[in-house]
Amino acid sequence: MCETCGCGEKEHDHEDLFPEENRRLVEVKQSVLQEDRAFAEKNRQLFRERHITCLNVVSSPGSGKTLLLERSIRGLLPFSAVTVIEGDQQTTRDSDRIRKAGATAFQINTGLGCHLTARMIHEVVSSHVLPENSILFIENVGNLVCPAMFDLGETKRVVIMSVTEGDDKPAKYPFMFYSSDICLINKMDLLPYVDYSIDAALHDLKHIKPGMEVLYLSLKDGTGMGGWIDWIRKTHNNRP
Amino acid sequence: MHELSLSLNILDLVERSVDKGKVRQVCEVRIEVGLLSGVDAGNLEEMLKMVAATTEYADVRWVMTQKDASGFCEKCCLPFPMTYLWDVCPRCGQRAGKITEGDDVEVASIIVLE
Repeated sequence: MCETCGCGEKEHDHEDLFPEENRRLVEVKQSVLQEDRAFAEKNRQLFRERHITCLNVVSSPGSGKTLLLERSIRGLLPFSAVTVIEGDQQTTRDSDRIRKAGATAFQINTGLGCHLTARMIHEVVSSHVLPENSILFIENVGNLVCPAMFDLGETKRVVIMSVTEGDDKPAKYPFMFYSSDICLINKMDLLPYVDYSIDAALHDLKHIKPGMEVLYLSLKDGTGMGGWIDWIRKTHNNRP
Repeated sequence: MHELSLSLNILDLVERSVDKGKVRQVCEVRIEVGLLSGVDAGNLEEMLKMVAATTEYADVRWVMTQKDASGFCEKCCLPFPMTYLWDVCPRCGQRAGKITEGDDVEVASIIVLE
């Protein structure tokens, strides 16, 4: 079938349908991605002006993003105000948890959307006054594919993988790991019970992003949390 | 899929690019998909057809072309072709300081019937 006019012929010329004298070429040359990238820069500038460190936390669903934030809030509140922007397709379950943990939370429900966009973040941060000199976490939609390509204006991007997911995530989802600044390997308490090779994961990670910092965590027993809080505080103190 | 949000943006861009007072029909939209944009051209085309199906753009022909990618090595001051984000300068082996082409999706042109 011809995809243009739907007739039974294969693809054929359509000069008869669109006579040359009636057809006009309109040059557009406009980026589809640039508008959202411009919002990312606006976000970045706002964070700079208000001395806010913004961490975009990404992972597949169930890796421990929300629990990480709950534990992080506990460790950070003595030193800094903390705000969280939660991204999920539906529900306010995660933002409810964050408020119970003691931080201010904003929920974005993306509906069919598979990632947060810089525009969505901008709508929140430009309509609410975030505390100066504070930490902002963005918990992105659980997804190792789409969020990789969308800059939200963050200071740093944090990718989490848990030992229960298999050690091949960096190889299978290289864009996400390449675009991130630090990798947290979570659920280390379960390592004896699963087929996960730290060496294999690190080998693939090194190929995609040599020198990437890696921290090992167990949110269940608190292993590694001290180092993670230190990293956040160091990142905040060293931001440009 | 992020192709859904991109498709909606593209339809919006097409809408804004045509003078509805003069244009009877949008026949064709040509889109360049950068190799390093993170967007699959085939998926985007399918999503555009689905999203446009219930609009005035239901009969538009979506023509996707792939744009090659290149980066720039700041050490060697040398551009080089890229296939992956982590490709390195062929001369010094360093990662690209920036991607100069091929990381975007662009509506290149529209053919209209007046």
